[in-house]
Amino acid sequence: MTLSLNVPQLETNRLILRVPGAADMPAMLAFLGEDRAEFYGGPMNEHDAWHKFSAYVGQWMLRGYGMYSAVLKDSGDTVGMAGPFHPSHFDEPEMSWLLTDAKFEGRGLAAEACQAVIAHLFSTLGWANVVSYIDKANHGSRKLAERLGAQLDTDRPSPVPNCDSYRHYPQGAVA
Amino acid sequence: MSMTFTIPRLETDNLILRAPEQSDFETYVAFALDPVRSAGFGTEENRSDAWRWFACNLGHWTLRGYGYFTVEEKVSGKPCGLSGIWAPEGWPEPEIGWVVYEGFEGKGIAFEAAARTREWAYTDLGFTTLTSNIVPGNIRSVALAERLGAAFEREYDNVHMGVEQLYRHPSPADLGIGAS
Repeated sequence: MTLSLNVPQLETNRLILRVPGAADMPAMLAFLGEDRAEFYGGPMNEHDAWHKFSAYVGQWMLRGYGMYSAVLKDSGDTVGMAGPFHPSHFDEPEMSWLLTDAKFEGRGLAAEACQAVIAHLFSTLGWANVVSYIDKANHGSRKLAERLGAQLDTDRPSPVPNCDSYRHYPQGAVA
Repeated sequence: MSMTFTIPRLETDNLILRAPEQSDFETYVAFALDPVRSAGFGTEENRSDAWRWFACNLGHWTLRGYGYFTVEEKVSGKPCGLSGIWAPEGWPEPEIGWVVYEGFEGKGIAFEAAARTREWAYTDLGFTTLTSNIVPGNIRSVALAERLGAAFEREYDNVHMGVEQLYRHPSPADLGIGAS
């Protein structure tokens, strides 16, 4: 049996966004092994990291959507992941993002990736809105959510402990 | 860009080995949350951890080109277990694994599925050797490994399961399979 997934690759000025695969593994395993992964269940050993990354990949096969890997056009580096994460205990998909290495921070890459993915969710997939669950201590992600125009959603609290719900809406839509 | 990958559909006299689907999830969860039945495979603490393993298995197929099949019983059309080749990061080497769900024991399902999986791995994937890791005391799995011709090689500390016994299967040549 052939499972085929027809996923358009997204492109921004600096990035290609594509379904994650083996090429992204070294960068993702390194990230999940570091303290920087504290809001993603890390740091964790290589086996647990592989398990987690592999589940990100497998979600695409089960749901038809998932987190893209973000690859720099000029170097081919996997700088991060961005997209709707949707494990079984979330009632709805969660727009999530990460940068694999501190050296990719401060360049607007996460924002660039998120804007492209969110635009795709709204305009191509027709989603009405999408939530992000952000840890109260994750100041970087909070700032990015606000920069992306997401609004604090106190009506539908996060299922993840110590997190707030930020909800993204299509531009011009009334929350 | 489209992404295509193949999970073959294999047949034996009584079984179909095929790609896992979302609709198989409940049968897997019932197994994975049962600490007695899943002790030798990996017990999950809750549904979300079980879902993560289920998704991870499909990721394993994507990243490695192989993983666990859902084993379906022809006569009932029901998922009756899992069988496949497993080699996540940290594993000593690729292994054949098998699981039979509640109510399907005693029919030779694990043997039939594991033997077919092994034949596929040697013939189609080109493996030249395969192992099975068994938790000490899992007498039924040891008996099956031996019935498959595998022999105890060593004990080691598995990153996920703790102490395990590594059994090595006969080579393709031993089994008269393939060009090697």
